[in-house]
Amino acid sequence: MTPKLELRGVAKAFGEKGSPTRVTAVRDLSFTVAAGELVAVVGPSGCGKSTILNMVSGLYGPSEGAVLIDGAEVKGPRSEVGFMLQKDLLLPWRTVIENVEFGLETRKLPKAERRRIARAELRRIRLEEFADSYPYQLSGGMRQRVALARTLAISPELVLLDEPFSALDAQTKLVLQKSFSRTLSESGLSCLLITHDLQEAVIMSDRVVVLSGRPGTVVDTFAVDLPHRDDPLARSTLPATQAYVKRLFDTLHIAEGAA
Amino acid sequence: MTMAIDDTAARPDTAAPRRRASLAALIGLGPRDLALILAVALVAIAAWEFVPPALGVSRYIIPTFSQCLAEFGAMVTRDNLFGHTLHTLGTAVAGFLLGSAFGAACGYALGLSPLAERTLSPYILALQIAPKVAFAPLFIMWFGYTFVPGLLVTMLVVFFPILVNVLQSMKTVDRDLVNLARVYHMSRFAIFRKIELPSSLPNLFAGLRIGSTLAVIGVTVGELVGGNSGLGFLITYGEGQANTAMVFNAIGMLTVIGIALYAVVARLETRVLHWIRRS
Ligand SMILES: Nc1ncnc2c1ncn2[C@@H]1O[C@H](COP(=O)(O)OP(=O)(O)OP(=O)(O)O)[C@@H](O)[C@H]1O
Ligand SMILES: [Mg+2]
Repeated sequence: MTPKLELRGVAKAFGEKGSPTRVTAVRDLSFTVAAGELVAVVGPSGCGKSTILNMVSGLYGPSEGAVLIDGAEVKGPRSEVGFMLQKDLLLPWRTVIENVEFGLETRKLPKAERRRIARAELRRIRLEEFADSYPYQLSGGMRQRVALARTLAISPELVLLDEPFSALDAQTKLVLQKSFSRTLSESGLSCLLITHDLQEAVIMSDRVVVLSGRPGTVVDTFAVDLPHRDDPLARSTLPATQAYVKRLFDTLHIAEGAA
Repeated sequence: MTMAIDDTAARPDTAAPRRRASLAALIGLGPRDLALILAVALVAIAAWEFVPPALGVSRYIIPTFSQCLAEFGAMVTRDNLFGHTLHTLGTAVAGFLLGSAFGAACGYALGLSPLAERTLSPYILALQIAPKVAFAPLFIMWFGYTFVPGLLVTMLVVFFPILVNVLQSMKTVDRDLVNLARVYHMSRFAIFRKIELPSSLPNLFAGLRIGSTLAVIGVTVGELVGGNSGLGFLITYGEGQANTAMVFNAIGMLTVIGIALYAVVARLETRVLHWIRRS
């Protein structure tokens, strides 16, 4: 079966060829995300994690190699890809429901249909009664949930998450990890989760890809063979979780030392 | 660690802050502040009324408050004060609207075209530094003693702060928002309309507020230099007659126009930018 997402020998450098300021962000990078799988990518700061996400979302192409979605090379933004960052990127001048509709506006849908979809997404994240509030009236965690609703409203097949919880306080983070996990596994989406948080990588994912320091390349990849992918809190109490986290810690330590 | 995880959401405060904006509320004043402000005004007026005569200052240097009031009445009947005020107000408003419209249009156009911006920015900088009011005599040479020079000077002084503010906002739009729109396949125009334009509104309004105060300066200079109507004309006329009270009154009316323009812009701003959190 073709994987949902495949990176095949990808390298990305920024700046003019031959210029002394040219930076190679990632090199010789290959990994896959199977359909319905949630893959976490961890690695030291600046190793090109966000760069990977931008290439997969089609904002720019790789310098070498290819990014494939459903076996087809990514040439630009694609409508089956959803994208979410650490910043919620809500438009402050729009109400919550109008924000959720944002990604649907380039689809040929009647306005009432857009409204209906957006309302259903808000119901799913239990923020229906905030539909007509403005972002400034919401807490950081609520705003990030609205951002997820906006991401899911376009019914993506692949969701890209770039440290979506790292701006939140510890407790909100746990709440959101749980609600995201439930929502993502309910909808059976393929997902690439970029994170700094090793614990988060283990409790939320099916598989973890570990990158080296810049230029980032895969130094380890392993399946997280634990139950409760839809419930990170339950998973975090399992003793085996700590063993995975330890493995990550060790790998990253070595990887950083080598870089 | 036990935790009430299920996201029970608080109710939104539905009574969205549709605040009533009296001018006082607009600048955030309570009744106490108002009383103090009023007290200062009373003291100032009393000093104005009694100190200059006590020191033997002639009414041709500093007319007292009551003399100014009397002259005000005379100006209304004798000199058509309200006609001149309306003329100035009309020119100021027209110049402000036209100058803002051109300024904003150029700001957005330059923001959309980095090449044009790079090419034109030295000229814009030079023109921005040039004292715009000094163009007034030039406009009179070109357009004669009509309302046109006043209008043009007003447009010119209003144009730049708005252009610069809008351009600045276009250059500092959140790249991640633009990328998000691109991931959603939005066209260049849709990105402008849905992201860049609304993002620029706070800056635009900052420019409009500056512009509204400058508009009064522009129109005054235009009328001072030439023409036979408007409050600026009354100032030169009063000066010629050694009628100091008339000059005082005209300045007072110009200030009133300035405050009114500013208040309208500020009011509009709180309405349009209601989505910004205010402390
Ligand atoms: N548009 C760009 N132009 C030039 N250099 C870039 C650009 N984008 C990223 N880089 C460089 O590529 C490298 C990787 O950046 P990237 O943002 O992908 O790192 P990251 O792994 O996401 O880091 P963090 O964990 O801190 O978010 C960095 O050295 C960065 O300076
Ligand atoms: Mg990053």
